[in-house]
Amino acid sequence: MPELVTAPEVVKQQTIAEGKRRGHWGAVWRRLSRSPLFYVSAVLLVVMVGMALVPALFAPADPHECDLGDTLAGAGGGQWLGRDLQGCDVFSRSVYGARASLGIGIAVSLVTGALGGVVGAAAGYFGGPVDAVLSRITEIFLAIPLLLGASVLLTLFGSKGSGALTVIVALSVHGWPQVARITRSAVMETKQQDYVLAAAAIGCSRVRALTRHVVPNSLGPWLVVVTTNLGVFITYESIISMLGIGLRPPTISWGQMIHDAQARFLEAILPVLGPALFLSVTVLAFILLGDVVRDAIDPRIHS
Amino acid sequence: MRGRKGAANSKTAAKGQGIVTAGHLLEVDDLRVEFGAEGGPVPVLRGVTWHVDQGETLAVLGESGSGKSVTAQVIMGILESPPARVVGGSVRWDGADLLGRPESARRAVRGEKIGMVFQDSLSALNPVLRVGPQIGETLRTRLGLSRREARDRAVELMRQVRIPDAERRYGQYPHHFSGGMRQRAVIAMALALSPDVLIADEPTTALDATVQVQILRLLQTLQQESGMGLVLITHDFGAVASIADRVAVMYAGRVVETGAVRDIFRGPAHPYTRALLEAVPRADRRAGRLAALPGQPPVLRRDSVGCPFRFRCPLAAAVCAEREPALGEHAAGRWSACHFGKDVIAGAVPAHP
Amino acid sequence: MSRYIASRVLQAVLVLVGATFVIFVITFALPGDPVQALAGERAADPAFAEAIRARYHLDEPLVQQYGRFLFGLVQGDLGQTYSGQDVAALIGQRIGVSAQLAAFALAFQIVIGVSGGVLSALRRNGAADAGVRILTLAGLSVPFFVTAFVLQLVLGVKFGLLPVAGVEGGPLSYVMPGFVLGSLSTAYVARLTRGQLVETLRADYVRMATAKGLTRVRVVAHHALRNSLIPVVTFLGLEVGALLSGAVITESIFNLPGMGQAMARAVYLGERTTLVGVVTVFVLVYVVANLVVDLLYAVLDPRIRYA
Repeated sequence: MPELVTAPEVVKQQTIAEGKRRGHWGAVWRRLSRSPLFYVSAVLLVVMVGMALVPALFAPADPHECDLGDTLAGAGGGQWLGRDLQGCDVFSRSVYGARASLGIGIAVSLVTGALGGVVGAAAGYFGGPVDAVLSRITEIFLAIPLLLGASVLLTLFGSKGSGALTVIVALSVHGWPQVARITRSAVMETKQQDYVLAAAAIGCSRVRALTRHVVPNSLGPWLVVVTTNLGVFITYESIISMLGIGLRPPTISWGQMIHDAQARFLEAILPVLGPALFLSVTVLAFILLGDVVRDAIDPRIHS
Repeated sequence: MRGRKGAANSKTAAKGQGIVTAGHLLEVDDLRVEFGAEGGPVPVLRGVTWHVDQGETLAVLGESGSGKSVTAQVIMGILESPPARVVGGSVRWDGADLLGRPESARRAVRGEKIGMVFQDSLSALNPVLRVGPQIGETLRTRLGLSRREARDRAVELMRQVRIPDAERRYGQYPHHFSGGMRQRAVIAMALALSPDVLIADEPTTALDATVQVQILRLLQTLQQESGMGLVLITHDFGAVASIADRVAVMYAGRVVETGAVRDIFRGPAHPYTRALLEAVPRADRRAGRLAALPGQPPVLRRDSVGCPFRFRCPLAAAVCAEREPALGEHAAGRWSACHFGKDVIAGAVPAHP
Repeated sequence: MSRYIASRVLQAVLVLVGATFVIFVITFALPGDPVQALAGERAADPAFAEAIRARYHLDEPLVQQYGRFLFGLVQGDLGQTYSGQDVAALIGQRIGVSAQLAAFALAFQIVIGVSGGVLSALRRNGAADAGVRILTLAGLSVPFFVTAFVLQLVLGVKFGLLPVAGVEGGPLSYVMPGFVLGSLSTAYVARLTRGQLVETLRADYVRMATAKGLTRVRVVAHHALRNSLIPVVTFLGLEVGALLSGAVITESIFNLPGMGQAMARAVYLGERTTLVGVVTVFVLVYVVANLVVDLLYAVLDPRIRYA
């Protein structure tokens, strides 16, 4: 709708054209900093990261000091979320669970983001036979359901006990194709933009075109999917731990707490809901963050 | 043909006049629209006034961003709001204000009274539907024609807009059509219910030069055949000269000059119109004298004062920064919004540097 | 068009072969050993172990085993479990339960997801939009197994409205698990539908449809919705994979005797033939679903059809 472009927007577009990168990301940051949801998610995430780094600061009790006589006690008496089967404080354990859950979520997001980003960018940028081979590989891995693939891998390593590294590898092996797919289409779209073609026409080298034009402009969709994936992978970690094939004691994670509590959930739901609450709030914070980042990068969706 | 109520009597009075506030077929009166923006509302239309009657062609002329298309969208009731908001003025059909009428009343006007042709014919046609049924769609929903009847009529409309091989083209998708053919299809779609007024929003901008001429001729022929009113929104003075009766020149959300096309060509009453005219390539001028208008349209705010054209105007004086000139009649039928309208008509404007 | 179909089918076969090979390689090293499984606690007699290994072709190189598997696959033979059960027959017994579960989940996604998204887009920034947004955020952030426990507790145990677990309750047994399994993607479908529709409603051809005098209902239903649903259909096709993954957990939680449960048991026991068989079926379902989506895509969008 070129006709709807008002005079101020014309001016803005010109400034973007002049200082492409700084102007663009500057504008993204300005829009981010104006969104109340950005601060909501940021505060939630700062608290969660704080818990992951120094849990003792947030937890009222030692998560390993339990009172078997008080098994499955309800809320009250200093235990906001009651006690679990072993008589441990659910709230404190949930606080200590943040480290494993958040750490694995972030690690898997970074690994899949890097791997999927590189594969997708290469496929989208070079096209032709490179794209054909990389895309087929991506499709093959995409066809193996993530959780099933991860479960099989974890069972493989399972005899030696699943450490955090095993969980990260298992989730990453099957998590990258989605990032690759999105990055590929973003790069392909950018590559066909007139300004990239123009850069090639005036003799820009391939490397320069890639670093100056294609990468910065494809970064948006990549960033959005990686941010949103943080929540997704935290959920996946909890699912595989809940199934009993993920992290194992003495490591505390939310999924594993739910795993321990699920058998008796008809008697005591708090040991399930407690870690579930931490998990949901964290995932929600990452989803909101993904949303505001997407809106800031692509303001057309803005109301 | 359906009756054209109230149109005939107003026609004689309107011809050649700039501002008459009663009795036109379609009238835009002091229309004001703002866009919500990050730094507060931005005025986009600041009191637009023009009218069109049966059988005449009005050209609305101006640069991108001057508000030409926004006006058309307000008339059709398809302006996206938010961010846009109508803050004043009226759009009258046969004397009755359309703004604020319920959606069903607005809909009755669309297509049947006023048709609209969009600028970009590729995006104006639904890519997943066949072209023919899109043209005949309102014949079925509004007039209740059977599938067969609608088909026959749609093919007839396609012939009317000179789409060759219309029978076969009926069942094709928009991406099978060339740009010019698509624009013809869009025109056929707008004409399906034989509207009394057709608004063509930059109908030739996206087309090749030779195709542009064909589409303009087509619009002219259709207008003459049916006797409808035609509003041609354009930034191309050359297009205006060949088919328009009257011209309304817009700048920064206002009409800055209006009058008969002959008069304006002979001697414009606003320095902006003059600059536009000088920018039109003509055979009788040497190439070196083709003058480009320097500068950019201004960024307006609600509290902007003075004439918005003064930054680019060779006549700019102290008064121009103090007061925005109203649209006034400087000679018979010669309306412009310039403090020095009379001088401009007299040709007392220094040439651009 | 036929070239398009042919290339899609070829791609699908390629993905199927590739994915089963990957699974084959991964499971090759599974700790479960049929010799141990059959011999139980006792130390196996070397001659007996040799015979068993030969019977399951475990003494052959990986590629040869895979070739044997592919050869069986095209004949509908997925091999035998270590206890001698036919895997294809086992899957045949269980596939009905999983199919019903998936059908319920998909129905929830389409009905609730699409209508929620449409409502949200048409009442943009209104109360309904806010309501749908809050619900979708909840759906996205609360893990679906937690939803499962809460529903079991409230609807099943407290009020006794729906069966808590098992399939003895007939179709009613699938309502709760279907909803739980569907809840994850329902929220995505609603968000995607909303986003697409909001964007499409801005398109020139939708404004043109309004400008030519169509009713709001006709503009939305005939001109906007169809274009908006194309990406939603694609999404649902891709989500079949997540649906199958989710089914494994949902079937465990609700004790439904489906393929997912068989798969979970096979993983637990390290029982390779069943594992490879079930995953093959899952991959096959996924590949076929995406093939259908691709063809549907061509039906919905004529620009693809002739490209």
